[in-house]
Amino acid sequence: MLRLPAVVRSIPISLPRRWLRRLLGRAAPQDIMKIMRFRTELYGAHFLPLKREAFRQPSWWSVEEQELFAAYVARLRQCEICTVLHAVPASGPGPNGQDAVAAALADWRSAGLRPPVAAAFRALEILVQDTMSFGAADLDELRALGAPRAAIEDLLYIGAVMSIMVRVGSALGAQLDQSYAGVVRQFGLVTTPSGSRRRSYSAL
Amino acid sequence: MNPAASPSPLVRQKLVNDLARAVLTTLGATSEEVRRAVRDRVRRRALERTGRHNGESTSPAHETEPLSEEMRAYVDAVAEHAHDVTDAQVQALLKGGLSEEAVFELTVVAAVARGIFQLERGLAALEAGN
Repeated sequence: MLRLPAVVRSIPISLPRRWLRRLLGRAAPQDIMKIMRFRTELYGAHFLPLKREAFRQPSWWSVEEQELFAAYVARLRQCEICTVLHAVPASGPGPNGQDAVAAALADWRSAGLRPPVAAAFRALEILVQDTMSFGAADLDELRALGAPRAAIEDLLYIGAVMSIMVRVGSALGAQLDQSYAGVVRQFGLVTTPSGSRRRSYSAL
Repeated sequence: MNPAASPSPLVRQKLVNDLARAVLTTLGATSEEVRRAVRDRVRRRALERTGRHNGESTSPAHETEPLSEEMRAYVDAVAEHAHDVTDAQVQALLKGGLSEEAVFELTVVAAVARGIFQLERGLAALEAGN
């Protein structure tokens, strides 16, 4: 349950996922939508266009890779709702996509990622976890692997919008609604309720 | 993988600026002074965490005066470890007299300030390597 009742009331009734998909063009957890709709002139109406632009296509990165970067940032910041929200599209249409995404989020160094994607993970890890130490040298590997400036900019913007989104979601207590239980199982992610409101993924 | 496409950095930067302006200046339960103090505190603490703030532009400490102790603790948590924010922290703010709208505003200002700070560091590194 979100921590601010006023935010809960921003969507007056509990909408089925198919309605949310119709409204948004994609499925989204209820809590995220409630946050985006509350005081939308202050936050959601400005954040969502920036998020769309950050995930723009065409890009040097595929749609699935962009979503994987987003899921990784959410994973680094321990936001389960945002991790799952982006892990789903990161898995793509292939039969093994979910396993690959789960492996990358669990331990990207041993997940057999495409070298530029692994280099992007390495850069994101430093940028998100130790922002002040991030410097030009942390982008050398990406450059050496042929990533153009535009691709690196794409990565930085995805990192930034996710850093905003996960902080707002986590602080306000956003959680996955029950309709996502099947998705969590598909990714081999087991949520473990604890004494607090936080949960942890056994596979992450 | 698509070949490198030319992005539109000016469009993105405008959207970032629009978001920053909206969270700071949209009329709400907290004053613009309070929100700017939140933004400045988040940026200053991010710089101070590694002691590398010398020579970088930070706002003086007195700008955080509009923030109560509970507010400072909350915005620090949002910016630095949002996953550890608790119900009790939010309840403390509400019981202290803040409205739900005010808590929401503090939350988004702190999160946006920290996200933009990260973006600026990344873009600076990109520029430095070119």
